[in-house]
Amino acid sequence: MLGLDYMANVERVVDGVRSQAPVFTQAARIVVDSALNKGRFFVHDPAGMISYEASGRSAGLYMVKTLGVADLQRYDLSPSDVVLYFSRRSFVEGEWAFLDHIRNKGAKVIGVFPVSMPTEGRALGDSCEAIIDNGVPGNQGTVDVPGFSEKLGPIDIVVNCVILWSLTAEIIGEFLRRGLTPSVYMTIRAQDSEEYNSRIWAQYQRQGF
Amino acid sequence: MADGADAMRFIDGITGIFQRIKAEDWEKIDKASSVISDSLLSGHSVYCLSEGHIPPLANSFGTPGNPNFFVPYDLLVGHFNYFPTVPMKGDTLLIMGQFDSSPFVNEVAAKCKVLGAYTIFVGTVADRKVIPLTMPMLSLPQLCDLTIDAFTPPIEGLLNFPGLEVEACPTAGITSILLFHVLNIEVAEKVSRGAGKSGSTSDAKGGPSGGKDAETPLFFRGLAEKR
Repeated sequence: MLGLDYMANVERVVDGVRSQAPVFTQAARIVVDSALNKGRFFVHDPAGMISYEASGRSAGLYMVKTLGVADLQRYDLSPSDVVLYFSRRSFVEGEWAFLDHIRNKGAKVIGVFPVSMPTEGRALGDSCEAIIDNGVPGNQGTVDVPGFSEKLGPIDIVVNCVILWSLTAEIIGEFLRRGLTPSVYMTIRAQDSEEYNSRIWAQYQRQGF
Repeated sequence: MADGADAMRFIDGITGIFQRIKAEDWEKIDKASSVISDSLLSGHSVYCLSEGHIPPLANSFGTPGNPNFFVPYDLLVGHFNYFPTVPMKGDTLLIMGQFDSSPFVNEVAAKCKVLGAYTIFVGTVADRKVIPLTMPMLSLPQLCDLTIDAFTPPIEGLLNFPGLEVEACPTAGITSILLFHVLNIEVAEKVSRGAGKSGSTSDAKGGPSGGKDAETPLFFRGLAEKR
């Protein structure tokens, strides 16, 4: 029944995310303001897992683009752009040049990382317009299982995906409160999705969000 | 509207799904982990095949906290056409998908079942009014020996927004990775005790050896003895 302990760990951390409701509104406003200023919305995480879940995803936003080091030249970031930046650490280590490039171009950064983790060097939070604390215990397991020398059951991907889709919900709500309709994918497996997606694709190209 | 109200709606919804997993799925999770640990302890292999945006194994392979029980079937077969490792009698195949059928996954499930592997599907029975079958054959819950429900909403989106034509914010990625780790931990606990549950239904399905290895003290020792 140790699987229940794992689920309890996930739920405990998600409860910590729940206590940050105002930050989601702040972050959503940054994204919507950016979109209305012809800006783009990028998602970055070191291993490309969360950004792959975020982009081109049924029931997700058309406007999301993945951002990795190889994309910097192609996208030529501007001050209108926003980057949702997932990190396993509260400090900048190998990716400082990548982050500096984003900041030097003037793009805004919404950071998602474990805020309480001791900062060893340059604090990631210093480069962020908004910070969501994912509260995860680094990139490691959370459950002790007899016979295994290290903890099993990492929770970072699960919690970061909860944060990703919670923020997406808030962004959609923010657009709608301003009388605007964001473009949302319908799964290609659904009836009539081809007609819907081609119509919404045209809407996305027209609006930019 | 209160700050973060829509974000909190999603968190409420996904934690509601977590509660349903605990309340409605646990018996099946226990059974699945018994079958998987039986396979491992009897010297067989367990495979994972997943599709979607964040395939659980692809996102966990080689990361701290993943015991790496599962052979990545999708990587071996899908990318390298590595067919000598087809799951067969005694092995277990775990399948995870956004929907309950797909041309590639259905074919793998049917083939492995014919070869005698125990097949477990993690996903949700689709509403045929909105998600038609992709091919004229059985769906994955009909093909597989056991189905663990991921409680995926009908067209994936969890939240309804007045003014939007489609529900938004999917859950399948979150639940499949969650269930992948839950299964890993449950299997780890069983193999560390040296056995799955004796007389698991895997025997009845022509699958792993059930309680035959109940005396095996440790997973790794068990593997060494068998191989």
